[in-house]
Amino acid sequence: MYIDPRDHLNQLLATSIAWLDISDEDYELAVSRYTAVGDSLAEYWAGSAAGGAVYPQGSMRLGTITRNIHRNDEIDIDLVARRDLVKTSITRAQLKEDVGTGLDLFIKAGPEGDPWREEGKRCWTLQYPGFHVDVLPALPNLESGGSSISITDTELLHWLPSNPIGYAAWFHQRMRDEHRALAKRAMEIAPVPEWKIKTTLQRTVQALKRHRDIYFADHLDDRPASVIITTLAAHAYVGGGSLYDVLRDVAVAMPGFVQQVDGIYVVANPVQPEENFADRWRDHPGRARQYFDWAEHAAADFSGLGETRGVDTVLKKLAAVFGDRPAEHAERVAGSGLLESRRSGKLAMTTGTGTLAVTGTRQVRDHAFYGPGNAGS
Amino acid sequence: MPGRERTLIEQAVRLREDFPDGVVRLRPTSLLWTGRLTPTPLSREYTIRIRYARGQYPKVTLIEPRLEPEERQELHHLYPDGTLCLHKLDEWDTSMWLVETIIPWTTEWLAHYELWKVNHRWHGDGDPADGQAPAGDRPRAPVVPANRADRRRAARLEARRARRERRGAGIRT
Repeated sequence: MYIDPRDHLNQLLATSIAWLDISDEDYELAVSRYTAVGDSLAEYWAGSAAGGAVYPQGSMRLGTITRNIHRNDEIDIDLVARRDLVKTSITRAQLKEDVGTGLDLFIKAGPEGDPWREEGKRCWTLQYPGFHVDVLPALPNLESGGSSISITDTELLHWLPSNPIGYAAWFHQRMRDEHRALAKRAMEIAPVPEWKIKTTLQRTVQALKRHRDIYFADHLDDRPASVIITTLAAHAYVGGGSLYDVLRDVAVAMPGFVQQVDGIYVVANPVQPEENFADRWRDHPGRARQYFDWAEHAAADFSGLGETRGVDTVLKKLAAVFGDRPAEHAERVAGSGLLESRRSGKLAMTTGTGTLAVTGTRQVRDHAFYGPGNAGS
Repeated sequence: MPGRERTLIEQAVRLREDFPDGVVRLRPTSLLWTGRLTPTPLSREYTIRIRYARGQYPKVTLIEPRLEPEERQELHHLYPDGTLCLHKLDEWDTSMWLVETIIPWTTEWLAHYELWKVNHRWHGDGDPADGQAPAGDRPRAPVVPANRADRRRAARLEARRARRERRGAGIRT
């Protein structure tokens, strides 16, 4: 359990943020759904000369999936559908259409979950109840090589470069040491799937995304993109420290990593610096201001958690930043943890202050909160 | 079977040893302890008072911060007089040290109380659904009085208990 206030706060923070995770069942469902989409597209592409590949990108690949509060905690999964063709052999519209046709065939086959298809600027969305899969049509970007791809955007007249695999590799590199240490410790206890090991950076990104979703609940279009938050957080992360320390320090330092080049705000893609993740701020100058306002609030909210006394007050603050359900989860886990540790004889009290801990000086003898003649007590 | 009864003086000495900042007031037949407890590292500090009269269960009152009137109404784990429900009858007897039972149970009660304050959910046990508290109203006393004084005291207590029973007046502890 807890020994000092920071440990206790870290525990409440960790359980709240863990609630934002996708459950094991949902993770398996996500994997089975994207595998089904991939298999179906592979079958469709098998009829032509060139094949392709379907792979996850974004938060699924980064380990930062965060439930969407504004869509009733819906889960979204991002996939790349890479068609192995050269740019000269297909137009952007044809590529989008090709993947769309492939997805229609998938839907017609009556897959599990009965998805339907919707069009976005850059991707197709397979909409399932409480769940959606964004499928991004792409070609290999042969000029850049490696894992680079070219993607389409209905608002643009040219191909857009992208590199989700390269980006994920950069992100994982930023937290490599912590991840290794966590994986080693976790494996000593029991085998844990790789995706379940979360570093403080991944937890921090989840926390910031959720805070953003609540802060921008009434004007979602002004939200800074997840990739901006993830990039800035990964830059601001220096490794080491508790979850609370990392969250607070990253929230405070993050805005400092937005660059200004010729009066334009730049959040460069670390693996292809010519791409500015904050490009849209140029057309919507208000969004840059909104970003900085939000970042200031996030820093103040997260810092404030460490200055609060009273578990009820901390939990109420957590509800304000993460929503009711993550905070309720933290409350239940704390309550059952307290009860279980006493029942199993692990709860102890420190003399002088009466503070409970697993390593206190006095074990709490088992009892129940009853009283004589008062059945309801 | 309960062991030897701990005298008020013995209880007071242990309280002073373990909680040097607390204040103990000893009277011939009762003990009053006022002290400050911080149930978890993130918690507020609470001032509580234990009133322990010989032959009765210790009563624990939260002094500061005070319970709000609506909290007193909605919190099931309180007696009508506002003292805290800490244990089943047979879980405490006079051979037990307050510092080893009543105080840890109080800090645990306070830890659950802070969690309860959020959504009025009690995560501790002792829920009405778990079953009922056993009947009875006084702690188990030593079965075999150790000396003449104890034997006299036990006899006095027994006589008083019998008188009360005849009158049909149950004491709430």
